[in-house]
Amino acid sequence: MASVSKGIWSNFAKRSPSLAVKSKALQKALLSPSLPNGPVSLKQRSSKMRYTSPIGLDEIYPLAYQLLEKQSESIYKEVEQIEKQISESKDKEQLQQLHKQQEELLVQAELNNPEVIYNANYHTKSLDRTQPVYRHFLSEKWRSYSRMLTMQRLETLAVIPDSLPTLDPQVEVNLKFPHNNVERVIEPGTVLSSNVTQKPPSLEIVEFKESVDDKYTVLVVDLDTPDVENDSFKTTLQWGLKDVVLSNTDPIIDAKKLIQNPEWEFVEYLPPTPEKNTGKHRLAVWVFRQDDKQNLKAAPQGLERDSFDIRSFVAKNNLTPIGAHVWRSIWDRNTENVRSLYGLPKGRIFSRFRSGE
Amino acid sequence: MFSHQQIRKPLLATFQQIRSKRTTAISPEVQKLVTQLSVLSAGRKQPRLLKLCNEDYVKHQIITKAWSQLRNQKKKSDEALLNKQLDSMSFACEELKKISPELYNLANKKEYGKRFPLEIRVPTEYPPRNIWYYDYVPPVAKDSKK
Repeated sequence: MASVSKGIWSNFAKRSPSLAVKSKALQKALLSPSLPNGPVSLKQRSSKMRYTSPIGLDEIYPLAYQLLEKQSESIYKEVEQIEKQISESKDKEQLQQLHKQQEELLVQAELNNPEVIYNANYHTKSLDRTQPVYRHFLSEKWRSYSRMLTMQRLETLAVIPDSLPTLDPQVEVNLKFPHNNVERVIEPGTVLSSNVTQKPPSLEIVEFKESVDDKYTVLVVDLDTPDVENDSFKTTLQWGLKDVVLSNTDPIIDAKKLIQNPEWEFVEYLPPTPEKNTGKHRLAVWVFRQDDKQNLKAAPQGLERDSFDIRSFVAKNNLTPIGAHVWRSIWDRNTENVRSLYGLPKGRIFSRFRSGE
Repeated sequence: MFSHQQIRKPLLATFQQIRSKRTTAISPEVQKLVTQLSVLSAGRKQPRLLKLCNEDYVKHQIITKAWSQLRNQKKKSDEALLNKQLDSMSFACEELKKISPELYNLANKKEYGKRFPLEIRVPTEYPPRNIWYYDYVPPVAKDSKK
């Protein structure tokens, strides 16, 4: 194989094998001056036949690759020096600084590697999140669209400030409802039917920093439950999870995990069952990271979910929100079925009236 | 006649536009209008859109990145060289000032009207076609009284 790589990028003694492309044919296509077996990424034979590479690519590409590989080698030497300093240093603050520097350098070292770029652009779902460079790509992608979209939806639907005052998002929260065997990632603000939200959702918390065993708290609150006595609305706690252990390799909270760890669920999942004519209810998902890695102290089993004061709960447990999501639910003809499924009484039917009466 | 023979319904009248080369001549006014419209539109004036497969697109990104890094390196080294030259020049002037103020003043005397000579030639890779112009006569000075 006439590989263009002669240095660090083909040496996996100290580097993870996830920094290369898995398919051998694709690797050959990427690491040869031209395409020896045609374009591997084009599946149709007719497309393969028709395709021609740009002129001069085979002459320039090896030179470009070797230039960037040399730069990467020099960055890896700097990383070695910093690792030496880390092993010698005792000061906590200095260690933090050095770790930060190390991560930045590791990102720079692999940022121009064509195999890494190919994986990041075309195999986004199966990236190895233990590698700083892949986390960097995911973070850039998140910042370019999803983060802004989530914040916009939270603000437009007034989840902020109706539940918590504000949010500085650190993680991406992906919400999925497992129903009908459909793979559907819910966009924030989507109106979902009662059938979809019947069973608890599965959440993926995408961390953009190194995370080995972090503990998370998840709260799902309904912000629009009618409070008839006060002619206003109150918050209901629909679902509460605490001390959920997640990492870069295992970022998903789903039914399987909850069955294995029943102590995580301190408030059982109550599906949204909006009453007729109460309009669209906003269901906010708040994600907190337990920074001290200790279990929550003020989250008792079977906490009162009616008239839930989320701000006092967060203050008592000293939590900081790192991510959020929101969906909306409305009464539909299946809502009564969901109520009977969960043993809830029949819902009220609201109607408009003039305040003079 | 036969049961499987279907009654053909008449097709709806379809209009198909066909473009072909102009065979008849057109008047100058119409030609003028045509050229004006042609200038305004981008048709047949853009290069063909390059369609790259994924591997080639990544390779293109790598090449672009390497080229930009190379250019940045060159720019930085040129700038560093110029700065070094400037520093050494200013250091030399400072030393001269300390050693001999008279020479320093002479060196820093303002040369009014000093320009690059007209005959100056930028270094090129290949010599010019006409190596030297032998019949050149320099301009006569304006005030010949001095």
